[in-house]
Amino acid sequence: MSLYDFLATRWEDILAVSWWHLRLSLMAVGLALGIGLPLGVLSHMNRLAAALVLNTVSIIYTVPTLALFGLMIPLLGIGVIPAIVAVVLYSLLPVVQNTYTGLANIDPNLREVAVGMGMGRLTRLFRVELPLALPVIFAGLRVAVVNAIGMVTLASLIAAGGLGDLIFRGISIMSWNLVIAGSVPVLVMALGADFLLKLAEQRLSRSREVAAP
Amino acid sequence: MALQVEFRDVTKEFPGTPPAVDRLSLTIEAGSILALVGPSGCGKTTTMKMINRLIEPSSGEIYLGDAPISHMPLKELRRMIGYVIQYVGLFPHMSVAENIAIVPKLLGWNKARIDARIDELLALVGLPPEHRARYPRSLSGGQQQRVGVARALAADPPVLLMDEPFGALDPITRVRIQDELLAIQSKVRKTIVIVTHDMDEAIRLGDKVAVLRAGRLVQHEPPVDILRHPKDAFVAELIGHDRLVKLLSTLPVASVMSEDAAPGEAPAVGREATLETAFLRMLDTGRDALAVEGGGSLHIRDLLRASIG
Ligand SMILES: Nc1ncnc2c1ncn2[C@@H]1O[C@H](COP(=O)(O)OP(=O)(O)OP(=O)(O)O)[C@@H](O)[C@H]1O
Ligand SMILES: [Mg+2]
Repeated sequence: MSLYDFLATRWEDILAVSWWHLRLSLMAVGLALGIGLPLGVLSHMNRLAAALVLNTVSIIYTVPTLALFGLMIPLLGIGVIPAIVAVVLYSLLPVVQNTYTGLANIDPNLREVAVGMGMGRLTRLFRVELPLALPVIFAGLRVAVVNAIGMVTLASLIAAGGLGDLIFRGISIMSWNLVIAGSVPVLVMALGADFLLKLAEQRLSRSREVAAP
Repeated sequence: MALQVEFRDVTKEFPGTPPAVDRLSLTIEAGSILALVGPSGCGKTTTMKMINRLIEPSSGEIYLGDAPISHMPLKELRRMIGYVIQYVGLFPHMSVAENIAIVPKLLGWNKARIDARIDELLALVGLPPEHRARYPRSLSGGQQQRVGVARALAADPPVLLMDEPFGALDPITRVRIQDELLAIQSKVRKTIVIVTHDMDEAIRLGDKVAVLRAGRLVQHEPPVDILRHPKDAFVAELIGHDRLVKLLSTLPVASVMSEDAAPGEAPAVGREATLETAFLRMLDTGRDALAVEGGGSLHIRDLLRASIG
């Protein structure tokens, strides 16, 4: 069957699988953001927490992704949940690290002005420090999303679905149509996410250059 | 409203160095401007930051009005004290209006009151109302510093602290904004502490000038007195070789003029003009006497009295 005929008959399937793939990735990054952002803030506020958290997430990050999925099987079995957990763990590093770095690199003069004006610890965090760190946090988020879209491809190995299903089946039955139908959407989604998030990042910094809408 | 600020025997020691501030006793009268001046590292910033307790004294006490500040709730104290720093310190992620609104919001003012206050302050510091929505990065250095002053005045604090506020500005903008600050002060009458290492700025702005050296208060007097009688060679050197010219440019004609009538056709000079202006007019016209507007005269002999006082 030609690639064209293949796509013409199967496009609905491919689209559905891609959509599932994207959902898995975004769910995992969403969770990583929910967990990683507070961890980054905590690390910023407490030295001990910083040592503990930053080292742990770096160690997790050094585990090869395939091995991380493998490790999930004895712990959580197979399926969607262990797959998401693996991607969340892997996405923690860029989120936590960038939150921490973003907060640590705030101009100390600005922090002091905030204190000097009588802001409390939390007001300062939410009104000054996090907004100032936002561009750096956002850059970490972008890395996490792009990583996750690639990594979810392997989720197929523990029966969580996604475009990996098409790619691995294609390899095993030597159907290049299937391999292409699986990998091109991964690539497009990864590049697309990267592009869109970069654009958002730029708009975010530019909005601070001129005037409020 | 303004409050007196008083240092009573205040010392600040950082570990391993001589005291940054050494047994400082100093009263800053309510509604006056104190210029703290001295070379780098003499303790100006440390002195100032002890007032809003960004730095706690090692010993001694500071009073705001009658109240010892070490007993006041920290946030409450800081919200009563406007704070302006050299590198502007505006928050880049907030618009001009949001920057100005910070302390009023912390104090729980309602939106209408905050909005009205922002308009009032922008007018006070000479910025057009359209600048409300601008972000700090889109403003010039001088405009940013005006916003900094507006922000510090937002909640009408009795005390204003300014740490080298105009240090980053070019000389022309600097003098203009100094004049603006004096004009603002004549309306708001705050107790202002302004740190500078520029003696000219201290003389222009201060009702009194406090000269610090290695944490010690060397001299604390009105600018004219410091110019007339520098306490020692250190103060004289800070002032510079043109001490008497500075004195002439500080004193008004009214301070040494006589009531005698001026000779006919003498060139005129205003009572509030500086003696420097008057002297230049004499050199310019080749006359040794000027007619003072509103009666009286200024003779070149009168200028000799200026340095004695
Ligand atoms: N946090 C600190 N820890 C240790 N030493 C300090 C600290 N802050 C200031 N000092 C020391 O205290 C002394 C006075 O410093 P301060 O910042 O008050 O000087 P300054 O007069 O404001 O100088 P400049 O004109 O350079 O701003 C200096 O010797 C400085 O090194
Ligand atoms: Mg200083």
